[in-house]
Amino acid sequence: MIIQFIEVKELLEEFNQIAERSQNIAIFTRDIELQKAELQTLSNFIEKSNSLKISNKDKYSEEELNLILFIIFSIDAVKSELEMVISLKDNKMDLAWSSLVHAQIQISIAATNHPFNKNTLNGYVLKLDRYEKLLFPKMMFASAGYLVKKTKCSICELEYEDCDHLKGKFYNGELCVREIHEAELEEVSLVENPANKLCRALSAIFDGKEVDPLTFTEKK
Amino acid sequence: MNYKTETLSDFTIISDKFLKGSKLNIAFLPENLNEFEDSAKFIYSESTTDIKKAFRLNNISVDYLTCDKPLLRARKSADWFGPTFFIGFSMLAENSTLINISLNVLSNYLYDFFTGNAPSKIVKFEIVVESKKSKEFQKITYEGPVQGINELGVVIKQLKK
Repeated sequence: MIIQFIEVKELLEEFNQIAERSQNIAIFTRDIELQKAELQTLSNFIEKSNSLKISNKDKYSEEELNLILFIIFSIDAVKSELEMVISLKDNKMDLAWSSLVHAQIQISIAATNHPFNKNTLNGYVLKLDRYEKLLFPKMMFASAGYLVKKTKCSICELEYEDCDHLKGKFYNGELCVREIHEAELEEVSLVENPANKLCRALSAIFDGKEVDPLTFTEKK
Repeated sequence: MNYKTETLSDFTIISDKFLKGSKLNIAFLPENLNEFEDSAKFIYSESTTDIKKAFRLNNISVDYLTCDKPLLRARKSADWFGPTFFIGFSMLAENSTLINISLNVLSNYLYDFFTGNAPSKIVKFEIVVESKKSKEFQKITYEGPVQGINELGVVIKQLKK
């Protein structure tokens, strides 16, 4: 990949430094105030990257725009990881779980669109998977089955069926999403291995009481 | 072994209705083929759309069984439910290289699809093979890792009679 513009090169260098620094701060034993301050640094960097992408939409090549989007998704994953650690310390377990799942989604999208080597992020993906297995209990999830009847591609706005864009891929610095405009619900099941881990069961029985499956605190 | 094969005894009726006289190489079959009286109600796995695009981007044209606008069934599972492929006798007999290319396209797409996901996911799909011109049909059901898909090339070719 050829990076033509110096500001994109500089952004990539800054990304590498910030990602390394923030992951070092995202370790559980680090001070929580330091971790909270780092969240702001990451938000600022995401905002800066996004502004650069938007203001140079017509100037940068598709590869450069996609590289910036890759940087945004990767840093957003690290930010979510940090939010998970902070939430765990703050005893906000539901938020910690949501943050972990968000980090997994963002890094999965980034890895699929990695501009240099798709396997580079495998170690980070594995780290998030280990967090899930070691820090959180096994849970049940709701999973919906439905018939998709009308869709739209977020890139070209054609019926998703009719264009060549693939969901989850970057095009000119934008993520392709298949928008579902009409669907017919067929069933909802309880499963252990869902596509969407945010749809978790919100109650369980422990010691004869209805509790939150994450914390075992009694539901009011 | 991540696959099983079986003879489809009742597929001839469907073949007579939709495939008679055609030299169809490869196509997507609906999940509810038994409801063949009304092809507008045919339902395909939602993954079919992206697989169709992946094939198109590799200059391989794969169509739905009929021209009706397809209904797509989404299953929100972490596992991947693929479409049912139909491989016609002409492809099996005259263009078996295309079978390997098609399996490569499928496994490359899935390798890319699962990048950034841990641990390795299971993929599930079926292939209906016309093993003898208009007379015999075999079904391969695959359930396993992406890495095993390319091995199906040999299995499909061995079905030819």
